[in-house]
Amino acid sequence: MKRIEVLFDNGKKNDGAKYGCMECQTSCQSACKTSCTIGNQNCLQKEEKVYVQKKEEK
Amino acid sequence: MLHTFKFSHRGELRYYLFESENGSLLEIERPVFLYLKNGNGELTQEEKAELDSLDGAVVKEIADELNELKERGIIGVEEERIDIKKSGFIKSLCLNVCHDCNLRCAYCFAAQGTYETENGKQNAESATCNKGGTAREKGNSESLSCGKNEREKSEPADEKTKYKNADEKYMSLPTAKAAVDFLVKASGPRRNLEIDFFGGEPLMNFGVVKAVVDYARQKCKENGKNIAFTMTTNALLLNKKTAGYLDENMDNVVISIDGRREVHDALRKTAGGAGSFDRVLKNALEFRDIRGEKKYYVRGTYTGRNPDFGEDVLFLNDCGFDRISVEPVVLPEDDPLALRLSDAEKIKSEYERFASEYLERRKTAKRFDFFHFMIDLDKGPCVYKRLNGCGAGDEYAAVTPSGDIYPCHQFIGKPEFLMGNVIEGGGVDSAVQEKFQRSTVYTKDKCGECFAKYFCSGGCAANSVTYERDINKTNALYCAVMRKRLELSLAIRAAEKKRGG
Ligand code: SF4
Ligand code: SF4
Repeated sequence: MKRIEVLFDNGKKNDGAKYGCMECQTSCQSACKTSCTIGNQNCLQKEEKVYVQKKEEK
Repeated sequence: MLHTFKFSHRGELRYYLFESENGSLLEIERPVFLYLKNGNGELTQEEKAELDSLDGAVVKEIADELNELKERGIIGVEEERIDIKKSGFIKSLCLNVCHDCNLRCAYCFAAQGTYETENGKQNAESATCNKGGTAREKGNSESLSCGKNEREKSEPADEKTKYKNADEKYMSLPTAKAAVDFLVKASGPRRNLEIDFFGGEPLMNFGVVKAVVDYARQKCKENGKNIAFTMTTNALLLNKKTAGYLDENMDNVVISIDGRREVHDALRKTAGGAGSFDRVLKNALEFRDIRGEKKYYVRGTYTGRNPDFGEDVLFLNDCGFDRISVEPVVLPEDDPLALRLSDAEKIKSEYERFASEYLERRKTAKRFDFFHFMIDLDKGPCVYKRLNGCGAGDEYAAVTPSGDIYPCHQFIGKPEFLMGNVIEGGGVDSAVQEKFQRSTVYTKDKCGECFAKYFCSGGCAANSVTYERDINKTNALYCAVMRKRLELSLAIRAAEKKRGG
C-alpha cells in the first residue's frame, strides 16, 4: 500500500466482540458521568484475554 | 460506515479514515481523503479542482488500495444489527447518601445538592443549611430514624407520586442497608456490583458511608458477588482520616475541581459565598499523594464562561494531576452559564488546540490521561455495552436519601421517572424500566447514521431529557462535541501508535 497505512486492523476482531457478559463497570460510574465508552473501556475479561462470553454460555 | 477526518499537530496536517463498524483506523494521504470525500459529495470547489487535477494512474491506485482493504474486511463493513435484550438486572447503584452540600455551585444539576425541583420538592427549608459535614459521622447508628416511619407520616395518596415528597436529606443506615439488599437482589446473576457514593456531598454523611461499605462487603460475600466502590467528592472534607479511608476502600475517587482559580472560584462557592479553590486544591493534592498508582480522577465542568477550558485541563496537569476529566455543563439554554449550539465551533477548536498540547505532554514527565481522549482500539468494550450505553434505568439506578429509586442521579426529582423505593420493596416500576430498556443506539433518532455510535453509545439519556424532553432524541451540541472528541482520540491514538506507543 502506497497511499494508505493501516494503523489498527480490526477486521477480524469484530466477530469476537459481539456477546458481552455485561459484568463491566457501568459508564456513569467512571470519571465523567456521561455514557460514552471513550475513556471507559475496561473489559473485565480483558486481562485474561477472554474478550467475549459466547452467546450459548449466556 | 466510513468516516474521514483530519488533525493538525505542530503545523503538520494528517488525514485519517475510520471504519466505525469494526473500529479500524487508517492514515491516508490527502488525495485519498479527497477521493473519499468526493464520493460523499463533500468537497469544496477548490478541493474538487485539486482532485480533478490528479493523474489518472493515481486515482486508479487509490481505488485499487481501497478495494483491497474492502476485500480484507478492514473497511466497507456492513452493519450487522444485533438483537440486544437488556437484562433489567440492576448491578450498579449511585447512592445519594446526602442531599446536602457544603458548596453552592452555580451550575449544579442537583440544585446545590438538594435535588429540589419544581415537581419533586425536597425539604426546601432545611436544604440550604450546612450541617457541618463530619458531624454526621455519628449517623451510623441503627437507631437513627428510619425513612419508612417518616414516609408514613407524609405519604400522599396518589400511587404514582407516593414517594416524591420524601424529606430526608441524609440517608440513614437502615435505608442504605435496604439499598444494598435491593442491589444484591436486583443484580440477579451479575457477579460484579458497584456502588458510587454521591450527593450532595457524600463526605457529609461519612459515618453511613463507612457502615454501608462494611455491610455491602459482607452481603456480597454471602452472595458470592464482588463489589467495587467509588466516591465523587468536592474534597472540602478530605483530611487525613477521610482521605486515608477513601484511599483504602474506594476503587475510584473522583474529585471535583474546575481548573484555574478564577474559573473554579467563580462558580464553586461555599455557602458563605467564598471561593473554595485553595482548600479543594490543597486537599486534592494531598489525596493524590497518598493515592499513588491507585485510580482517581480530578473532574471539572466547563461552562459558557470558560470556552478556553483546555487551559483548565493543562492547569490541573501543571498542578500535578495525571488523571483528568473535564465535561461540558448541562443546563437549559436560557441559563447564562449554558453552552449553546452557537458555541459548537469554538468548543471544537478548543478541543483541537488542547489535543495537540496533550500529545506533546504525553511525551514528557507531565504525561497525563484525559478521560475523553483515552480510546482502546484493540479491545474496547463489547458491542453489547457499546449499544447499551450507560445502563441508566436498566442496570444502573440511583437511590435518594429516602430510598427512592430513579434511573440515574440526573433523573432524581423527576416524578415521571420514579421507579420505586428500596424500603418499600416491591422491585422497580417496570414501565419506567422498559422505557430505558427499549432505548439503545438503534432507537435514538440520529445515532444509526453516526460514525461515533459505538463509542458514544447514544449519549446521555438525562441530557436528552434536559434538552429534548425525550430519552430517544439526541442533542446537536452534545453530538458535535462527542464526534470531535472521538476524532481527536483517534488521531491521538494514531500518533502514539506511530511513536511506538
Ligand atoms: S448521540 Fe449523537 S454523537 Fe452519539 S451516537 Fe448518537 S448521533 Fe452520534
Ligand atoms: S443518563 Fe446520563 S447522567 Fe444518567 S447514567 Fe446515563 S450517562 Fe449518566
